[in-house]
Amino acid sequence: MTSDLSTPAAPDGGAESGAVLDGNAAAGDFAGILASDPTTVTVRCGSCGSTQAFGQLSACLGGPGTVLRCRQCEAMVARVAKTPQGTWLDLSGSSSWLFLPAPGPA
Amino acid sequence: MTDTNATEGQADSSAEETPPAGNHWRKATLIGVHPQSWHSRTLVLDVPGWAGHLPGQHVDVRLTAADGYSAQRSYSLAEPATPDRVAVTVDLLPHGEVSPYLVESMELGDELDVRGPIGGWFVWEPGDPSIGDGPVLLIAGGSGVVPLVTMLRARKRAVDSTPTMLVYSLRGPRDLMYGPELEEMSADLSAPGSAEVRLVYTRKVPGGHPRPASHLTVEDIKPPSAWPEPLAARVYVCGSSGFVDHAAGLLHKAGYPDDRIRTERFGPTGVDR
Repeated sequence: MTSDLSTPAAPDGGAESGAVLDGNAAAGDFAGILASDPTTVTVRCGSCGSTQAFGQLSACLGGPGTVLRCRQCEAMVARVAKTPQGTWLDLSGSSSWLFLPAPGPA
Repeated sequence: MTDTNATEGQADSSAEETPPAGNHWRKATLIGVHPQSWHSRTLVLDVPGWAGHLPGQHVDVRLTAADGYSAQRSYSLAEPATPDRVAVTVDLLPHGEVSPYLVESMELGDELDVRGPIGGWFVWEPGDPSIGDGPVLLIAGGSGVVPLVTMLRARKRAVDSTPTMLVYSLRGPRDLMYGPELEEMSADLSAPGSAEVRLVYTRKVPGGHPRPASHLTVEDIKPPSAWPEPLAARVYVCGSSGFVDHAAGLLHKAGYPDDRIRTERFGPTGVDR
């Protein structure tokens, strides 16, 4: 995995790629807030009710904050933003987060 | 780079208060470089206190300029866990801000900061009971091959015999990363730690390669006939967002259930602070 802001297209893979990635790429920021690895958390979308692993959510990075969207209905489920006042965590678009016991170091 | 060795050292010495993994920047020193393709290289970093990681996890890397401006990127860990050691393989993005420094300029002894390991979703550890003895299918687009090769290296190190195949989509011969290693790994499929490797060239095909240039097809991800229950395979896909969507579509078409597929996407996602 490679990421670099100023490049318009991904290094390979054929199809065009935008800045929409997945929850794996947002994990560093959320790991700084949550007590455990976020990528394995099962997140339920507050809009359509579908569940997906945090690591599979769509993620928009590089803006003033990081926005995570449901891969089924594209509703915003979570966002985090670092500001001079502090770090904002908005989970209002999700209805639940299920943290499974993690077996390995994460 | 800022000179904060003294304070960092003090913070590290308070072993009682270990912050959560992933939330702690550590000083890393470049101790080795290995070219991988004409536009990528592996950087080996000495990171005192690095306790280890799982194949497939990544690190955040932070560069800080003398004026305090800093840029942060994510890179997959390129080697199985070794104490005090972190390796990343970085692909040059010509107009990027960070990768040209890492691929072309950074010299042995230079420092940067790393944070991690991050992520427990896109991981495969040989012997993982949730996978059992079932086969493992790895599908890579471009530099998405990095975490998948780390999985193959861990499997080889563990002398694990889980049936495993890597399907690696790339533009042309000079984009091939880990070429000699993949060739050796797939030369004798009866050897311990070996894996079937399929190279899928999308634009330029080297002489002697049987497959014409085209994007990944259903035929390319068809499992080896020796796999007893191919649809029970755990599948890992890593590449650009477009590649991952394409590969996931092929997997669905081939009948793989969603819950067997794990994906990781990379792309232009830098966060500058």
